[in-house]
Order: sequence, then C-alpha cells, then structure tokens
Amino acid sequence: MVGRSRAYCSPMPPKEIKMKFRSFLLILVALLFFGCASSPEVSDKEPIATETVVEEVQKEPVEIITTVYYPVKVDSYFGDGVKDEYTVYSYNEDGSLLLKEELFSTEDSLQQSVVFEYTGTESSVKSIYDGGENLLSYELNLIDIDGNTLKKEKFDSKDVLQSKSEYEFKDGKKITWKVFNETGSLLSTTNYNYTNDVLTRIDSLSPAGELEEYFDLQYDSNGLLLENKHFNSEGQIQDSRSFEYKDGFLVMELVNRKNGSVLRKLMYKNDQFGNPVETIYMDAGDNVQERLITIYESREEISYEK
Amino acid sequence: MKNRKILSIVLILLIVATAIPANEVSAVWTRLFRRAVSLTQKSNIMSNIVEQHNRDMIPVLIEALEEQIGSLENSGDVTARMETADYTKMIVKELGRLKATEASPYIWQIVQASDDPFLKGEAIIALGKVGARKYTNELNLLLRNLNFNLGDIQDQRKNEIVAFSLVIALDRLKQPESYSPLFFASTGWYSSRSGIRAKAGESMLSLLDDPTEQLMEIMKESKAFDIKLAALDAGAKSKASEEKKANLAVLALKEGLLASPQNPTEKIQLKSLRVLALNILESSSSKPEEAISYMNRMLVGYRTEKLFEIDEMVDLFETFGTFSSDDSVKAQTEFLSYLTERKESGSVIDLRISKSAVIAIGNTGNSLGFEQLTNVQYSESWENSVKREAKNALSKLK
Repeated sequence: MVGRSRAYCSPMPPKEIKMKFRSFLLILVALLFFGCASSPEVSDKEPIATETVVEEVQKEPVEIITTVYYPVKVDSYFGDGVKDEYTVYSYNEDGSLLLKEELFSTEDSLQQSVVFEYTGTESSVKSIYDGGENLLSYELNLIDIDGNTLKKEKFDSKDVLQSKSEYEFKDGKKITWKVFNETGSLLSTTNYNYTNDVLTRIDSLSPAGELEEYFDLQYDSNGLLLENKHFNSEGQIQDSRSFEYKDGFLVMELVNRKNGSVLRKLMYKNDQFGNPVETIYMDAGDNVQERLITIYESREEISYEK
Repeated sequence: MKNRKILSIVLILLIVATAIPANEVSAVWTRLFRRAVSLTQKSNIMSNIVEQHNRDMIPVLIEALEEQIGSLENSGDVTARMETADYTKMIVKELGRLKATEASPYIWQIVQASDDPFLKGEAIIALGKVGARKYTNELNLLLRNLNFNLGDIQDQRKNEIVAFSLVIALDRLKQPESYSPLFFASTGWYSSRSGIRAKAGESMLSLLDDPTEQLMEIMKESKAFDIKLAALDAGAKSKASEEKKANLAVLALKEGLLASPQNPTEKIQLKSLRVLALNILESSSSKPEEAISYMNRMLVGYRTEKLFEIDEMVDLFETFGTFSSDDSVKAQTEFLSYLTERKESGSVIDLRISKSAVIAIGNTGNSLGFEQLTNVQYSESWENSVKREAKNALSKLK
C-alpha cells in the first residue's frame, strides 16, 4: 500500500512561486500561476514509512490535482460605491474554455458581448458584438501546441483587415511581438529579453529596427517583480510601476510619473488562494475611482507527474 | 494507490493583466496611434486601444478625442461623417467605462459639437460615468428643453435618444437640482418604447430621499392638473417622512379644491388629485390640522352645490375618521346634523353618505360626536341600518 499525502495550497513560500503557462487554456489574455510547495506534507494518519512503498511510488505516476480558479463575474462600482456595469463570463461545461464575455449596464441591458469559438486547439475566433448583437469586429487567432497565441488578425465587420500581431516563443517564453497595419506593413517590433529565464527587459523598436522605448524590470530575491521602468530611446525615464506583495501575493501597484510622484494606485484584496477578489483603482490622493469585485468558480484538473 | 498532490493554481483573466508587465502593450499602441495619419488607420489602432480597457490609455484617448472636437463639423460626406461619429463614439465610450474624470471637459465639448444623437447620447452617458458633476446644470437644461418638446416633429426620435442618455447621466450624477427635469421627463411626451418616462421615474426615487420641497414647488407652479397629480404620486412613492407626505397631500387637496375644471378630463384629474390626497392623509400617521379646513370645504361644497360625487365623499369620511381632533369632529357633527335635518324634512339621503358620516365620527373616538350620533340613533326618520351604525359608533366614543 502506498501512503496518501496531500499538500494543500496555503500562502506559498515566495521562493517557490512560479509563473507557468498551461496549454489547456487557449484563450487566456493573461495567466498568473502560483504554485504550491513542491514537497507534499505528509499526512499524520498515513505516514509514508517503508522503502518498499517509496519504490512503489516511484514506479507509479503521481496524480496531481490542480485547482483552477476562473472568474465568472466582475462587478464594477463607481468611487462612491454605486454599482456600474458588470461582466459575466461563460465557460464550457468543465470550465476549461472561455466561451463568452458579456458586459451589462447597471440596468441589466447587454452592452457588448465577446464570443470565443475554437477550432481544435490550433485556432480560435474572438468576435465582438454590440448590445444589439451586431458584429463589430473579430479576431482570428493562431495557437501553438502549448497554447501560445502566434498570430492575431483583427478584422472589422466587413472582413477588412484592421491590424495583425505576430508573436514568437522560445522555450515557452514570448520573445517577440510584431504589429502590422491593415496593408501588412510592419509598424512595430517588441523584443522580450530574459536573464536566467526571467523577463528583465523589453525593447520596443521602430519598423526600421531602431530602439524607440524600453522597459527595465527589477525583481526581488524571491523572483517577484518589484519595478517596471519605462524609458525612451535616450534612456530618460517616462514612467514606472512598482509592486508590493504580502505573503507572495500582489497587494499594491503604484503607477509613477517620470519625476517619481505617484500618478495612481491599484490595490488588490486577495482571497486565501491569492485570487484578487477586489481591485481598487485610486488616484494619487487615494480617492477611489473604481472598484472591481470578482467572483470565481473553480474546477479540478488531474494530471500525472512522470 | 496513487500518490496525490494537490496544487492550487490561480488563474486570472483580464483583471490582473496589470499584475504582469504589460504596459509595453499600452506604450506600443499609444505610439502607433500618434503616428497614424488617416481616420481609418486611427480607427484600426483605436479598436486595439479600446480593447485593452486600461487606464494607461486615458491620455491617448483624451488626445484622440481632443483631435475630434474640431473635426466633427468638417467631416465631409455622409459616410465620412458616420465613420467619424463611430470613431468618436468608441473613444467617448471607453473614457466613460474607464471613469476618466479628467476627460470630462473634452467629452462635454463633444456633447456641444455633435449633431449625431447617438454620439451626443454616448458622450452624455460618459459624462455621467466619469462623474462630471460640474456639468449637471448644463445637462439639466438640455433635458428641460427636450421635455418641452418644442422641436420639429421629425426630430422626436433623435430627441428621445438624447433624452434617454440625459436621464441615465443625471441618474448617475445624483444631484438634487436634477429632480425637476427628471420629474418632467417622467411625465413628458416621450413614447413608452423609449423607456424615458419609466427610467426617469426610477431615477427620481434614487435621487432624493425627500423630494417634498421640489414637488411642492412643481405643484404650485404647474397649471396642468395631471402634473399636480403626478407630483403628488411621486411624493407618495418617495422615501420622505409621513409628515412631509401629509404636508404635500394638504397642498394637493388645496390645489384640487381651488382649481376649476374646464372640461371633463380636468374634472377627472382634479377628482383623482383630491382622492389621492385624501388617501395619503388617511393612511399617514401624521394628521396636519391644516387639512381639516380643506376637508371641511368639501363638506360645505357638498351641502351647497353637491360638488363632489358620492364615492369621493366616502373617501373624505374615511379620512375624516382618522382625524380625531375637536375641529375635525365639529366639522363632521355639523355635517351629520345637516343630514339629519334634511332627513327629518323628508329629503332622500344617500345611504352610503349617511353611514360613512356616522362611522367616521365613531372612528374618531371623540366624545364631541355623542350628541349627533345619539340623535341619529333615536331619530324616527333614519333607516334602521343607519341607526345601527350610529349605535356602533357611539360605543367607540370615549
């Protein structure tokens, strides 16, 4: 018999926080993964005790249950607490694919909907409709086997190309983003540079390949992003963002002007799993501009560690 | 058995895009927008900017809007004008969604400059969303003018689009001075399909807990009886105190008695006004003495000219029954005495009137009613059913 052990996700040691990207989620705009302790805690009742068991464990694949949280509703509130619009997210049956985002007014009338359609795992279409369900624009996305978007082509409702973005990945990391105009001419190239697998600099180049602006990213010893500074091509700072964490979770983001003064703040209140359940946008004087309340649902995914 | 580990993975869409270093996206689109020359290029890039739904984009959105202010009037042919309007609408809407307060002067300029009702309406809604309270008076004035419906009849649909936007914006801005234009929108010429009247009615409720002052002013100043009635109705539905509602009802009763109807419609409106006022006074815990003099005027009016219909008189007595002061009971007993005299002289008195008058005095519980109720009980002229009511009423007196 093999002893069963479980490691629950509690606030994670900062050293072990990792960002991952999952192929099963094709439609994500942004992913933030917080991993748990890699060493499972041993159950008091069923300790792993014998060498035989250890050997057996090594032979069998380890089942990993992953709890995935996904937002199902985001309510927006004005600074004075009055409710504004809200967005409802709809997923497929097991919650693994986002199918629709619907934006409703305070009066519950549909303002806009975004519909996602998938063709296997290789491509998707994102269509944007107005409140009257008239198509406004759509986007064709080409996706690689790891779920990375390689190409986005944006069309208007008359099938006229508006813009195109192409992305390159290496070892699962985005290394280039190129933007093209409606005629296919290159408008901009953005290069993502990594040091020891960590994104440390982003260069934004003109079509001719000249540096136009760049971003420097600073991390703490635990790998948490502390600052993102934006410079022009001459190395003069334009603005910056700084980040504060509590128990490994982001709790405050400051957007600073070029002279270092605070332009605005974003405060995150997280649940026990690190999901930001409340996001507060404030100006420099701490006046609340908007408050977002997010409701999540979760699902479990089983995978096997080899 | 399999060895199990449970990992918790937090998956966050959209809302924490800012938690990862994504501001290069804002920077790139901003730069590309500034380089775009034609409206098509700008519009194509703007659709990407709007899709970011990111506050970093506010400066470039404002920049784009400012550029549009001067060009709205010089947009060429119909197609070009429509493209310009759609493009501007996209910017305005996003600034509203981002609650970009700093954009309000530019959005207001769009309201002023645009003839397109959809763009104008979008800009008005955006002003509400960005909390542009400094434009409340201007928006109130716009709605007030639309409420008058002085424009061409072919512009009514356009005006409804703008009016609906104004109601939404004023509802959001929640300024007391918007109560009056919202009230007149709720009673205005607008079609049911437009939803303006219903929305304005809802907004009034949330705008002021106690709109009595505003409604009294409307009731005094408006000559239209249906407006007076609507004002009283709005007061009854408001969150104002019982006392305030009763005061408004007294004013409505006064207005309903002073005015002379010029046609059957007005007659019905005035009756409705008086009946609603009486109903409010009946159900209210506040019993203003001032009401008694107007209620007594109704008794006098009935005696002298049969001014009021029986059902209205029944309502009047039901209300009188909740006013137990001496003045109230004196007015009622005087009327009952008149009825008894008439009865004894052989006149036909409507049973509903006589019974209601008797019951009302009993309901006051005031002993001043004793004499007249006793007269009824022992009168040889009154029907037995009226006498029975008088006996019951007497048992309620203290």
